[in-house]
Amino acid sequence: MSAIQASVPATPVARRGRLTFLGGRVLEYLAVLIVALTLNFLLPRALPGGPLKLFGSPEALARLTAEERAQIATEYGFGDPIHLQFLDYLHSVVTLDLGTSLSDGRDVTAAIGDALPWTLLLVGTSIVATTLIGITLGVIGGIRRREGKGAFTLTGAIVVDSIPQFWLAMLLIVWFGVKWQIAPTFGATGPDGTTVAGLAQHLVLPVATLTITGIGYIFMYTRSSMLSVLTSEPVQHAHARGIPRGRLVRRHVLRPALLPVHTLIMLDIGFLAAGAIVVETVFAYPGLGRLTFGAIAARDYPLMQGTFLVLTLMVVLMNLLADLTYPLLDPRARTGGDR
Amino acid sequence: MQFQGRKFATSSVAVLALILSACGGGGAAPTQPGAGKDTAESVTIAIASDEGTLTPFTNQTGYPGNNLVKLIFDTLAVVEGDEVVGLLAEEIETEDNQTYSLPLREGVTWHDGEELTADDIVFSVEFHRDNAEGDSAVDVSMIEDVSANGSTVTMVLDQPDPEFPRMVLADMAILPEHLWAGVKKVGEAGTDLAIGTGPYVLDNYDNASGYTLTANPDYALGEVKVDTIEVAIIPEESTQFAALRTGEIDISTRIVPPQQLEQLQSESNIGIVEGTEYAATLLLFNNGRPPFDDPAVRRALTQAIDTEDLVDTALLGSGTLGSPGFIHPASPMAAGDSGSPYDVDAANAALDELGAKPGSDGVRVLDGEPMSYELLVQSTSTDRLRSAELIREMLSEVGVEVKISSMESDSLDAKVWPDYDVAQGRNYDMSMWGWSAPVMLSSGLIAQLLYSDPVKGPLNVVGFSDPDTDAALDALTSEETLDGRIAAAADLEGQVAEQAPWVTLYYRDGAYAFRSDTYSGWTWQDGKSALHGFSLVDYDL
Amino acid sequence: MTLSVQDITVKYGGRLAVDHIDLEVADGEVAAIVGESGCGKTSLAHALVGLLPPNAEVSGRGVLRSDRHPALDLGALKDWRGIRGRRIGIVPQGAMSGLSPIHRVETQLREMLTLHEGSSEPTDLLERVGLSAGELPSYPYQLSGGQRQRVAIALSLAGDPDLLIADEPTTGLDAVVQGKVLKLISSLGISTLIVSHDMTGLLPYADRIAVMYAGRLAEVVPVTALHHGRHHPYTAGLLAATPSTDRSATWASIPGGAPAIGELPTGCCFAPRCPIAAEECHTEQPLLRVVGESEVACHRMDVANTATYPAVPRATSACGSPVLTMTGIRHTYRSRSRTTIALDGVDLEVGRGEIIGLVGESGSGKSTLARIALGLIRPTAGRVRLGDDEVTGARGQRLRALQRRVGFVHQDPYDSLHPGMKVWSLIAEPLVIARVPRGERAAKVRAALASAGLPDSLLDGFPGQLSGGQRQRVAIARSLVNDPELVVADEASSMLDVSTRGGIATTLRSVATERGLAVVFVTHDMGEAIQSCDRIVVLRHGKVVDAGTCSQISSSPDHEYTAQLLAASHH
Repeated sequence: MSAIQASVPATPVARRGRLTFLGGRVLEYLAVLIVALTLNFLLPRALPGGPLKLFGSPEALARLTAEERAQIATEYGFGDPIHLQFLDYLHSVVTLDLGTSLSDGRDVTAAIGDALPWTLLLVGTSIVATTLIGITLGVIGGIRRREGKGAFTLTGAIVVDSIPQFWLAMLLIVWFGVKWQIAPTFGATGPDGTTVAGLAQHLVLPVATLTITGIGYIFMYTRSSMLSVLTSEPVQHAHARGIPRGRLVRRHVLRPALLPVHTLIMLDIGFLAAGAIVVETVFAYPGLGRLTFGAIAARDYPLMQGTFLVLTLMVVLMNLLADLTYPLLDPRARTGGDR
Repeated sequence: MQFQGRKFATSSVAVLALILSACGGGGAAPTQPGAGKDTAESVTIAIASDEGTLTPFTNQTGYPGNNLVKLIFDTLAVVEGDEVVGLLAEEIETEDNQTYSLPLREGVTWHDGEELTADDIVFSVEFHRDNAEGDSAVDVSMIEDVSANGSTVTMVLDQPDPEFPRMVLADMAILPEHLWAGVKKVGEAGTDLAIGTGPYVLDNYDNASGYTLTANPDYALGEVKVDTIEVAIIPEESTQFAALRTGEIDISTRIVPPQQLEQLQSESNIGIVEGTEYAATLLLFNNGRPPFDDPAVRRALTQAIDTEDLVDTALLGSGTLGSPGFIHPASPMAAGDSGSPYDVDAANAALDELGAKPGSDGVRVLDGEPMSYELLVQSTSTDRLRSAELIREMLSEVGVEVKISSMESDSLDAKVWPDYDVAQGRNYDMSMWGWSAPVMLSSGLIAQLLYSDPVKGPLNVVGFSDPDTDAALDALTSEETLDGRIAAAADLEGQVAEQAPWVTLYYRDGAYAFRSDTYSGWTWQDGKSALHGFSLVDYDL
Repeated sequence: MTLSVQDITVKYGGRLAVDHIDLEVADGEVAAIVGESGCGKTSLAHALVGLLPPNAEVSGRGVLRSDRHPALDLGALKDWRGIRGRRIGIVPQGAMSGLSPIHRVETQLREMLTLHEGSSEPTDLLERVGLSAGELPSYPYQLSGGQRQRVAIALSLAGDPDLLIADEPTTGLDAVVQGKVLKLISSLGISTLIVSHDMTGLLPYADRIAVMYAGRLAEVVPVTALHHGRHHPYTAGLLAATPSTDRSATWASIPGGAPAIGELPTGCCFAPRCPIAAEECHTEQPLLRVVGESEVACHRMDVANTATYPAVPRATSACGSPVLTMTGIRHTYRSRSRTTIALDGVDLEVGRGEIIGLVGESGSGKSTLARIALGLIRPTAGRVRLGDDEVTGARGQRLRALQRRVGFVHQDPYDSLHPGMKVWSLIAEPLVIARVPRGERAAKVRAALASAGLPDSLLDGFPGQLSGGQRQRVAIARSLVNDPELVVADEASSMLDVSTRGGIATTLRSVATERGLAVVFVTHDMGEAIQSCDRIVVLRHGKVVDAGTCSQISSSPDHEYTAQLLAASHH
């Protein structure tokens, strides 16, 4: 682990400013984004079963003549050569006019706008819970391990980490939903509309699922990071200089140990939105994941492209955010900060 | 965090079993036996996926999407039991099955208060003709002329069609001209266009809570028994049944899996409504690919398959044996039960006679080729997967080897029915397949399954071609009376059984579970299951 | 008397690491414990500040006295609160990476001042260690190695301690900086105990030196008395094994290696390596006795002055035709935010049988140049020729064929040998890669092993069973096995104990002579280069600042920087 080790800069002869650094970063992310957008465009089209299915049932489709088929393709924008479709797609991304859903004619931006807050609520709550619990256990686990005590074992974490989300979700539904009737089994709001209590109740099981399946990972990462920082030279030295244990952990161990965890969590936020597909589907939670699931099932290209775009943007954005916030936590990463 | 899309379908079965077994004693207080609830303030229905804006062109599925649309939009006629009776039309009058005269009921209004007129009907026919789009599009091309005279509408067909009332009048949603006249893109019709004359008004549609339908206070055709219908979108089957047990939903639109049926039936506050589903499950042969181009081979393989065993094992008895002539014995078109052709000895003898001698590995060799074929099966369908396994065993009994390829249904469609255009050919040996209920109920659609000409037979996914059968189909579709058609259908059934273009394995029975402590008025209607007007309205027709 | 160590013994799971040591540090005195790795010096120091691992058992007393505090027995102490940092200032080993990377210098100083109730201001502390107040807002990564070590010293001073314990305070620092740091420590006016492996480096700054060997004190000697009088043969050996920048002085090595903990021989521990050991040395443990100004533990003090060690040989013949020719080498590293010029127009030529010393401090570009010579890095500009073949443009198969003609000895013999492979396999591996027929391998492996000065008996062993010097010889054997024309030794002796470094140099010299090899010897130690090479090239900031024969460089350096290196290197 090199969390602590500073790389000693060799004789720097040319050093660009912070602005150029940021510019370079943004350019890099743009490149990533363009690659991702291309994939977003191509992957749905690689799925078996074309957009014709959107027109109606197979039985209805079968009656169509070749001309009618071509006409439908044109109508839905799939008659053009693929490169023109791609240009259209890029144009729609740039103008943020993502078109209308092929299956029900809803405005894609509006559909995503409806779903996104739910995903953010669900994923956000889960991330907070996962992070708090995972890090706390990881920190304690790391310290105790260093002191040769057991408590939160790696084995336990690995077991928790390998629980399939679907299976856990079902287990929670069975026990907490059906058997004890503590929490509702599906949906986001109660029968009496959007109340705080209703929202909270409906969050319980999906958040528990995401949190439990997410904790192991954060725990293991935090724990190993703690262990490596606890044995690192700065901490050994601080100990030798007479800094008492509590202060040592608080001031000299936690922050460096949490640096890699910070990056991890930022990336997680991006990915959890996608990871919530399973949970949102099982718990019938009206978020982006369920929307994506439905879009894929219906071969609804504009909607698929739209939700993929949001997921891509979220991942890329969180990467960028991790990149940009990292220097706030780690002074060594502050380029141009040399005096 | 990894993307965790793990083994959805298969594990859901196991979990479902878990739910049902773990919760034997759970649930709300049991109701008094026999104390069925005839009315309810509110009922929650679970559906599996979003159904769009619930207009006749934007629903995503036939079932349950079209069923929900028909709670908002009335049709001219409605199927009650085996009969077609007038709904918006007071009567269906015809002399020759070609000219239909339809006097409308009085006092019917649209949800926005406007009055229903004969012009709305004329408009609807023309609108459907111009916009044959959407999952449940109605084919009205046979209507040559439609006109309104006072409150009576007259439709003239291009040729006599005794099935017209069932196929069109009972299926075509009537649209309000004053709202729909300007609509160009029906695929983008919003909820503001979900205005019909039906028993329910679409009150709210939102992404988070699903749909809310409220009883139409001015409904003229009967008494609406449930004030509010909430429709919740729950994609996962196991979650639906869990929510049913907790009482969060009151009926699931998913068929209760046969292995869970008994368990649910024993619950005091859960009722089951059962009936015949017309959807057929088939084993397709690629009739264009040797040796399946030989009817004798197809017949022999058909004889090797014990459909009774499939129903007992794969469906745990919740199904009806496939008729060799395809048509469901309970269908109005059915000629009657002709029994299963299953006979292993006959199959072996037939194969021997064809010169297919068993090779060293026990697999027969026909015309120099080992009789070893790939069987495609949809990975998401439990009963078809099980059936495929059983079929493999059954065919191995007669020296035919089967290799099962399980795949996602769209990938399978792309092999069996590329672009849903049979003229494009097909690429498979054998495949599991299913036709939905409407196919079974119309001689026109049955004909589309079998005509050798791709234009007349757009559903002929096996590439079947037989001049005698073509002639039998001509005879069927040109019959001008229902009785004539039923007779012709019997001939056709014989032809199909003889030619064996596919094996009709079984028809799954439908069983739907509902909360009897909330509302127990659910009834069965063939082809519609439990979700239809008769379950929710006391009609006064 | 600030510190009296009385009969301190440290055992790890019953194995003796420190064996009944008595030592005193007088008020204001700078005392040093020196010895090679594993001699117990660090265990002793850690025993005095309670930093030993839990499995260590300590006995004996270490009495800390001061006019400001009551006397304290460190040996019996269980609760170290208020001791470390306040009564004893500690400068831990590894200054390069030992400061908290995420706190500013000022924050770190203030933390120590608050914690240990120091009365100074951060600025005062920095001033005491020769840094300006301008460094207060710096983060450690913004400081040079020397500056970081100064900050570490400042931190240790925050609690105004009675005693300073500095553990290898110069590790990782460039030669020029090492002296400055030691000078600073000695000028602080605090009783100080320095732990170091580098005896000669300490001489100008320490008052008294305690030489440790295998857990015992071999000799305690005032620095002023070190260069005359009679001394322990080990002390004499250490002095002789330190390469002098004076080309006329000889450079020797002590044969063999120190015994491992728990495997101490009976009698005098040094006897197996001692050139004047007598029978009693192997049976009876010598005790410290006063001899002149020193205290020495040796039975053979009467003949101590006759102890001599094998000297590192010099070149006997002139060098042959050029093997490696590098002309106009330029190399730049690019990263996200900066471009670094590592090499800027360097020429280098090495002939058959010649050892070239490539000398420079960290960041001078010497390692980059070595990698270019190995064909591992493609230079941004310039040509590299091996014999008559062009390396610069070679790729793929041809490059690999050329690379087989160059041997490489890595700096770190502990990490560079796979611990799970036997010595035989390690040496034979290059042959396997070069697809040498199986039948020819044995002879080549044995020949290489012999050239590297190792007995055949080691072939079946694992690297873990070997000493550092033996491991490095295995690495040399491995580099020789393919009969290369050129061997590049990258700081090949820097991680070895001083007593064995000369042995490696001897081996390199003998293979250069016997096999007609060209050797590029990369080092930061000017003395070692002068003693073991034929010619020296001094690199600084990617440029050659000085080049010439060892005698020229040693006696009349052209460049001021070379002179600095000479001055900083040993005496």
